[in-house]
Amino acid sequence: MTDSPRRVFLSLGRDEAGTAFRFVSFYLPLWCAFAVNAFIYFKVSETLKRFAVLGAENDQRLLKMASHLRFYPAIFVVAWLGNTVVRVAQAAYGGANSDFSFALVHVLLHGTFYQSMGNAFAYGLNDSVKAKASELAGVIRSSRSLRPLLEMEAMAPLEDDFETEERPSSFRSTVEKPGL
Amino acid sequence: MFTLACTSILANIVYVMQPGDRVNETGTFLCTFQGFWMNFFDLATIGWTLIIALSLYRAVVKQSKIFERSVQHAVVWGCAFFLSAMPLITESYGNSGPWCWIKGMMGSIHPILHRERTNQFPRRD
Repeated sequence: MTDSPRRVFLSLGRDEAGTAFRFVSFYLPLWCAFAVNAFIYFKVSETLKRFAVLGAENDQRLLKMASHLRFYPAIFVVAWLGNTVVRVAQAAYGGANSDFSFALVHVLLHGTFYQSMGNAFAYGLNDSVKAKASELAGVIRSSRSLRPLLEMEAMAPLEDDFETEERPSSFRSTVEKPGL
Repeated sequence: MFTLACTSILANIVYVMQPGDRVNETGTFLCTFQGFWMNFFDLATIGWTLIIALSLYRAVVKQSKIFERSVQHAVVWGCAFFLSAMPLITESYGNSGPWCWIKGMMGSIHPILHRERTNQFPRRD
């Protein structure tokens, strides 16, 4: 005797809510954030290119910055696409979490690590940080010790670099510092 | 960016936490604890990248003031907490593979299909 769809659905317990929450509480906000991020970086990139075309000072820097912006939404895709596909496939077609192969796929494709590394490179690795890292590497090589890592001095505020080097003067005066 | 870095570090720390004597046992305090904070910090990381994008948009495209720092914190932590609290209230945190997160019922999107294919109801694990 075949079970009716209604009976099967009623037989499903509280765990099914968990499957829904995976998507409502995590994957949906994640991909909404991706869509907003992609739109924003597209608009910002367009604006920076327009400033460069208008002959603002440091136009090469602006173009470089505009092309660099595409990495931010790309981090989302690289970090989370594989994981999302696996979870959707698992929810649709089954596959036990206890299986070693599933565990391995989850670990290898989980986005947190890739997102963190990507953010560190994309948001943190600017010219000031590169210069400081290079300086620090030189000190470590010359002293043959990792102690300089613990005695690092605070860097100059990054806003200064952004304010003086990357924005054209035409709108520098009108915009507040991001202060992120 | 400092807050984003701290949030990412915390998110990664939660992943290496061992949830209990028996690994990933659904229903234990540590399993729920890991699942909640994992979801919370992952969402907060995503939230901070969104805040950076919105701040850049307001500064460059709109040329207006960015959001107050207190508002940024309230929005990111508040949204992450709300979205992570929903599975907590419904006791949906549990074994989710190699760690504890929101537990799911395998094949639950289409249980009839799953039943026909495997001759059993979707598994709870």
